[in-house]
Amino acid sequence: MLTARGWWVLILAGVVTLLGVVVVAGWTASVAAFGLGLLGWFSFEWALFAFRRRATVNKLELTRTLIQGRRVVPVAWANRPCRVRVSIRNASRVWLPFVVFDDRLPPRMAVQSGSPRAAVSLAPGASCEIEYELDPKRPGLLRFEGVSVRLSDLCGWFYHRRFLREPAEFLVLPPLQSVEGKRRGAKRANTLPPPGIHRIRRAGSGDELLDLRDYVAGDPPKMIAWKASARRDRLITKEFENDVPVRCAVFLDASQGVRVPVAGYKPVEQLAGIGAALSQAAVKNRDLVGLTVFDDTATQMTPAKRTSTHVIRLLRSYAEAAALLPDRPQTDLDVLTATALPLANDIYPDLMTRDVNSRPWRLYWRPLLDTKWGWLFFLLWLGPICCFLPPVLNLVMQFVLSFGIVGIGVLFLSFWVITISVQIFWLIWWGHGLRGFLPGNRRKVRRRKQLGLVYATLDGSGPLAVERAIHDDGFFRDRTNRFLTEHRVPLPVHLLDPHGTFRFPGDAKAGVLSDAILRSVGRARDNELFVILADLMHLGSTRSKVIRAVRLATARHHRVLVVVPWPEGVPDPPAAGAPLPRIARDDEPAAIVSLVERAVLAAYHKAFADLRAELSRAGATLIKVNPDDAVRLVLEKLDRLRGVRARR
Amino acid sequence: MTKNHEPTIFELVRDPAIRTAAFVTAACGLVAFGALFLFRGPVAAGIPTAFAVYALLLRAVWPVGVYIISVAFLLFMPDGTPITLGSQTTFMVRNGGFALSDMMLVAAVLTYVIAQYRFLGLTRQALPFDADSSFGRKDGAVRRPATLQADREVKWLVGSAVAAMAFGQLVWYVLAHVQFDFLLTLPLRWVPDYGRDFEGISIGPALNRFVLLALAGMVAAGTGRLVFWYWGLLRLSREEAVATVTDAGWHEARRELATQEKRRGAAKAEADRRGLLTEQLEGAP
Repeated sequence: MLTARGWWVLILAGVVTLLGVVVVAGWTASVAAFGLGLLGWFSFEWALFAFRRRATVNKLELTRTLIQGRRVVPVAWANRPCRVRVSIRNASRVWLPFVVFDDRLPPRMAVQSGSPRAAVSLAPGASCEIEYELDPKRPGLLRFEGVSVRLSDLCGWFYHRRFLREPAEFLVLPPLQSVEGKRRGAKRANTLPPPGIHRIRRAGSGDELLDLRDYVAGDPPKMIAWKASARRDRLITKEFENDVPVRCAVFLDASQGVRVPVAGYKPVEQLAGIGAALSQAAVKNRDLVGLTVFDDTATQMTPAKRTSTHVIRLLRSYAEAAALLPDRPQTDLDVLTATALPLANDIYPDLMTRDVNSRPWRLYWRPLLDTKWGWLFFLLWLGPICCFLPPVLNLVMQFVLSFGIVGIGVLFLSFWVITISVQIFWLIWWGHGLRGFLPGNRRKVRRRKQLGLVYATLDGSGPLAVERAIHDDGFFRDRTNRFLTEHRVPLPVHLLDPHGTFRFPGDAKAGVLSDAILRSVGRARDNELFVILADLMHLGSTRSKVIRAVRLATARHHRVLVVVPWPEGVPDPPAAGAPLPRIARDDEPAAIVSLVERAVLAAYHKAFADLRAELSRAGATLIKVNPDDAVRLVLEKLDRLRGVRARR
Repeated sequence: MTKNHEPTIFELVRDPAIRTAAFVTAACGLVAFGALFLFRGPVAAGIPTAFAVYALLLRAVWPVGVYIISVAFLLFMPDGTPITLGSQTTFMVRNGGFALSDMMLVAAVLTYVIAQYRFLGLTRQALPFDADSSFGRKDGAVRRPATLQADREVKWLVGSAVAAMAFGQLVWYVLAHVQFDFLLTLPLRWVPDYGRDFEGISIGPALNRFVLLALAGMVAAGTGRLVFWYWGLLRLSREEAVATVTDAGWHEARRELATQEKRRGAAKAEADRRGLLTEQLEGAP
C-alpha cells in the first residue's frame, strides 16, 4: 500500500523521531517534536487512506453502455464507430479525494477519440463518466472486462489498485451492405431475368421458351405450338423454362486454421465479412440464403430464408464465427505463464495479494522423501546404519573393554563413521530441499501457486486444484489456455510444428465440409448456388473428398463457387511462364530471403493452381480474396459468374 | 493528468490551478523560512530553503527528503557546527515541550512539507507505475488534475499541520514525563519533579523514552492493524472470501495434497508409458 515516496517519508520521520527522542533530547526538544509531528501526520494519513479504501472499494457501481448511431445498442456494427460510455457511482458514504479509473479495452482495439481514463475526486453518491470511441473494423466480439480503480492520497504516499469486474460482451455484426445490396438489385443487362427470378433449363412455367417436343396425351392445349405442328404435320408441344428463386447456400469455414491471426487479422473475419455481404446481396435479389458454419469437427446449419429477421440471424452467426479464437492449446508453459500472470494481476488484483494468495517459504522446499530415489537413498544409506547400530555398538563396547586404548580408538572411529554418515545424509537432505529456492524453480512455483489459486477460486474446485496446478503440467496448461480464451487474450500461435509441418492443415474439416455439401445437395431442389468460403489451400490428400462433393453438386446442375482467403503480402500468382515475384524485405540477408521466399511462394502458387485446376474439372470456380479487396469486388466477381451462367 | 507527455515547467505554469498551488507551496516555504530564520538564524533558514526552492522549481522529490533531514539537523545545531552546542541537561528534557518557538517552527515546516508533496502530486507523479502488469503500456506518469483541488484543502492543510504539531508536543510531553518503575503493578509512573530523587527500579532516561515510544508505536500499529483486518474481513467480496478459504485449506493440507499429486503424476506417467486409459487421472479435481 505504501509507495516508494511513502516509504521514504516513513523512514525519514522514523529516523528523525528516534534521533530526537533518544540522542539529542538533552539539548533540544525541537527535533523530537518535529519528528513526532511528522510521524503523527503520516500515521493519520495512513489510517485515513485505509479507512477510505475499505469503505469505498466494494461500493463502486459500474454501468456500461454501447452507443452507435445515437442509440444504446446491444450489438455493434462493424466499420462504424461506436461510443462506449462507462458510469461509475460511489455508493459509499466516504469521499475519495483522488481516484483514477481506467477502462480495460478489448484486445486489438484502439481508441479513436476520447479517453478510457478518468482521474476524479468522487463525493458520496456522485458518479463519474468515461466516454470514448472505438471503431471495430471487422466482425467479431468486443469483450470488456471492467474498470481498473487506482486510489491514492493527495501526497502520493499511499496507493491501492482494484478492478471492478463487470464483464460485458458485445457482438460486432458484419456491416450492413446497403450500397452493394441495392446495386445488386439493378439488372446488369436485358438478358438477365428480373430480380429474384432466375431461369433454369428445365421444363417449367416460366416465360422463356425452352424446347419443343412431341405432344403427349394430357398436355394442355394451350401449350401446343400450332405453327410448328402445321409445319411438321404432327402435334408439337412447347416447353418453357422454369422460373425459380435461386437458393444460395453459404459454407463458412470456422476451423482452427482460419482462426489464427495472421498479420493482425483472422482469415475467418474476412470470410465472415464476405459471407455477410454476399448473403445481404442475395436477399436483396430476393434469393433465399442459408448458412452452414463448419469447423474441424461439426457443422451448424441455418436453413435458407429471405426475411429480414433471417438476415439478422445470419449476421449474428457470421459475427459469432468471426469471434472464435483458436483453441489449439499453446504448449509452451513459459509463454502461457508469462501471458496469464499479468492478465491475472490486471483483472484479479484482489486475488493476487499476499493476504489472500499467500506464498510461504516452505512452498519452495523440496522434500527428499517425495522422490523414489530419496527413499532408496534413505534405505540404502541410513537404513543399515540404523538397523545395525545396536549390535555394532555392542561389539565395539566389548572390543573396548577387551583391548583398552586400541579399543577406545576403534570406538572413536565407529562414532566418527556414524556421525559422518548422518551428516552426509543431512547434507543431501538440505541440498535437495534448497534446490527449490533457486531462482528459476522459485519463480515457477510462485507463479503457478498464484494462478492456481485464482483458477481454484473461479472454478470453486478447492485446495487440491491449487496443488495440482503446481505439479501437473497438463492440468496447468489446459486451465491456463481456458483462462486466456475466456478473457479473449490472443496467444502467439506456432504455425509450424517442430518438424516444420503446418499445424493447421485442416484435413478433418475436409470431411466435415464434404459431408455438409452432400447433405445440402440431398436437400436441394432446383438449381442452387453453393458458395464455399474456406481455406482449402493446405488440404492434402483429403482435398479429394471436397472435390468429389463439388463434382456431385455440379452434376446436379448446382453452381459452386469457392472463395479462398489470400494471405497479405503474398503476390498474386504469375501468368504462365512469368518469373515468381518477390516480397520486398530488406531486414534479412538477401540470398536466404530470396531462396526461402521463392520456395514458399512457389509452393503456395502451385497449391493454388492445383486447386483451381481440380475445381475447374469438377465444374466449380475458384476465387481468391485479398485482405484489402473490397467486398464490392467480390460481389462483382460472383455476380459476373452468376450472370454468365444464367445467360448460357 | 496527461498521458505519454511530460509537461515542461512553462506549460505547467500556464495552468492557473497549478500556478495557485505553486504560490501556496511557495508561501508555506516562505513561512517556514521566516520561522527558521527567526528562531534558528540565517544558516538554519537558508540551507533547507535552498532545497525547497530546488524541489519547487524542478519538481524533484529527493530535495524534500533532504529538506526534512537538514531541518532536523539544523534544529539541533543551528549554525551547522557543534561549537555553540552546550551540555545536555535533564531540565531540557523535562521542560522542553510546548515551547512557543518550537510549536511555530514545527507547524510551519510541516505545512511546507505536506504542501510540497501535494504539489509534486500535481506536477510530477501522483500514482506509482504498475510494475507487475505487462499489458498496460508504460504511460507517462499519472498526475492529479489541478482542477480537482478544493478550496478547503488549504484550510485543512494548515489545520492539520497545527494538529500534528500539537500531537507531537503531546507525545513528547508524555515520553518525557512517564518512566518505568518495575516495582509497581502497572510499571509506569509519572516522573517526580525536577530535583526530587526517583525511588524505584527503572532504566536510563534515553532507553526509557525509546522503549515507551516503541511500545506505543507497536500498540497503535497493532490496534490499527487488528481493526482494519477485522473490518476487511467484514467487507470481503465473494471471490475474496472463496480465495481466502481455499488458501487456508491449502495451507492446512499442503503436504498431503502435494504427496497425493506427486503420486498421481507418477501413476499418470506410468499409465501413459503403458498406453493405458488415463481419463480418471486427467482434468480438474
